[in-house]
Amino acid sequence: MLGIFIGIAAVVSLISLGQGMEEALTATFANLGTDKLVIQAASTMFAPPGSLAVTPLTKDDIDIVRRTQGVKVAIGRLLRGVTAEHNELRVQNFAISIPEDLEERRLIVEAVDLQVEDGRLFRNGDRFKVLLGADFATEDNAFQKKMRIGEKITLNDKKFEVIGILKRISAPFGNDGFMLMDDTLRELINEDEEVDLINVQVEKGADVTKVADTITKKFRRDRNQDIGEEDFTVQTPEQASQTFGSILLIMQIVVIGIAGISLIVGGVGITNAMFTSVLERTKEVGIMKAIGATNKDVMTFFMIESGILGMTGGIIGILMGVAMSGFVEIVGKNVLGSDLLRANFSIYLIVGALLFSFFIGTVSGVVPAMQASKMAPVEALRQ
Amino acid sequence: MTESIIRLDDVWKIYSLGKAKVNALQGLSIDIKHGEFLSIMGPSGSGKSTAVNMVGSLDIPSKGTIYLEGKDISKLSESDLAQLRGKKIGFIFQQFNLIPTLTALQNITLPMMFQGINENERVKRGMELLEKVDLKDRMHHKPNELSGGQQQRVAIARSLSNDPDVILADEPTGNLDSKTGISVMSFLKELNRKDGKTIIMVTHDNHLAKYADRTVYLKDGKITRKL
Repeated sequence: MLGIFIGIAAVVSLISLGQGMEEALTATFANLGTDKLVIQAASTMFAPPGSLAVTPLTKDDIDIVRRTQGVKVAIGRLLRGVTAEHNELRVQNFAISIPEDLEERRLIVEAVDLQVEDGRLFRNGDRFKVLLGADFATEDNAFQKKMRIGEKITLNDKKFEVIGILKRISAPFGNDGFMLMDDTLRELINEDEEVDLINVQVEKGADVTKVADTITKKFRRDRNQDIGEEDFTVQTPEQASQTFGSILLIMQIVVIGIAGISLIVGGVGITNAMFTSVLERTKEVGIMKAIGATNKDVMTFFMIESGILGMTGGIIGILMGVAMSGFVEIVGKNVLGSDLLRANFSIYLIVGALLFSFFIGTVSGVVPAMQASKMAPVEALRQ
Repeated sequence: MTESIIRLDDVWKIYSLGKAKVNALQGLSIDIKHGEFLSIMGPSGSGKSTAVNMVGSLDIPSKGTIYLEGKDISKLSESDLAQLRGKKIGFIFQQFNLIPTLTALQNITLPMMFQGINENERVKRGMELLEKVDLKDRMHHKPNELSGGQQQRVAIARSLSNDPDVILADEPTGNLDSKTGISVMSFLKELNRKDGKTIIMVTHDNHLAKYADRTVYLKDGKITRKL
């Protein structure tokens, strides 16, 4: 039964976390809107943009995008690690750039749904001012204190004034990082040319997928690359969520594989327990047959018993799984500061796990139950 | 003359133990009438247990025919036999053979479950039977919470649950003290007289034979004497 509840616990906790994560990601991408594209240098899927890029994107690339038919606006943005100091603490954190141009800024504000909890957003000409993510509205952040408007923080040895604290958003790094004006961030990290991602707004009525295709072709030509050799990605919101979706799927398949092995081990354990039980109760089988139980009755009896054994394991497994993913969720929120690790228990998952454990138990009991049902009553009674 | 309920006609049971063959029954023929109280006696190894298994359709003969109410049952499938004995024959064993995990009431109602009788009916009939054996206050007790005599009374109640025509008692008093044994025997006798049940009892105790209408003595798988 140990195997059953380890297996079920693994399935329940990982599927619930997977579903929660999927939901969080879907919400994130839904925010981006369907008329927007994101271009990134390749190999940045698992790392913050810019950090591992082979050929970084540059301002020239933005021009290529701008010249593409169907593109309304193309905005280059930076997402870089900076060293932040405040409250006698020195931490590494992410800073995201906000465009200098008013139109472009308005677009980003709209796309990510930027709103301030306190203070204000950026204005033209703001220099060395910083917007803080929502985490800074409480004590639960890198500086371990609740931040106020007007306070000073140091980023890469330069003093910055806090002008606003943002409302919670669903974009990655949005709640625990800093937002700076583009020129300021470039000055801070001494970077003129490179951009980490290009946000593209497509013209009204233009086909997003077609525009993405055209940009891909132009980039390929510009970089002299064949199909499949690209060191950049052009993602539509659907593609992005599909990519995450497929990573999640692979993760879930691996998990289900592990859980499957545990369940098989558990099933073998139940089979063994049932063989012992049948042997110990040979006489009971004899009695049941003497008082009119048919082979089918005996078989059903032992299979139900075996199924209940499996389901008991399943119930313990579900409880363990719920506890485990609850724990992961708390750890995710408090230690990693990530809202992506969120457990989502659907009724289907719970009921499904319960039925499945009963099914495993029943199947595991088939052979022992058959053995019991085939006992000759006279022999069985003699035990 | 009353009709026969069970008839064994030249029944042989041959066991193979390695190369040796053991003839547990050698051409046994018995004709048991409706409403009869028959006792089968014999020393151990005489084949009386094998005989009672045949009579109770728990086993099938190697050779010969067994008739239950005129119907040849020696060639029925195991499941058909199970159905038949559940309905027609009630068993009482020396070891009581109650299911240890079930209560007295559950033990009594189990045979009815195998006949597909609904729960309300089962419980109703179970309560009546508990009353009949004077154990209504023990209905929720498990076998290990009952004395030997009480357990045997539960077993008797169980044997009656499907209202069978035949009660088969294999050494019913073998595990009881003499006083309890006498009360069990009286009860069986009463079932025979008042309710008209056919009772077939296996025993090696000469004193019990007096309760029976007729006694057959077995030795080496054959009848040696009839009384």
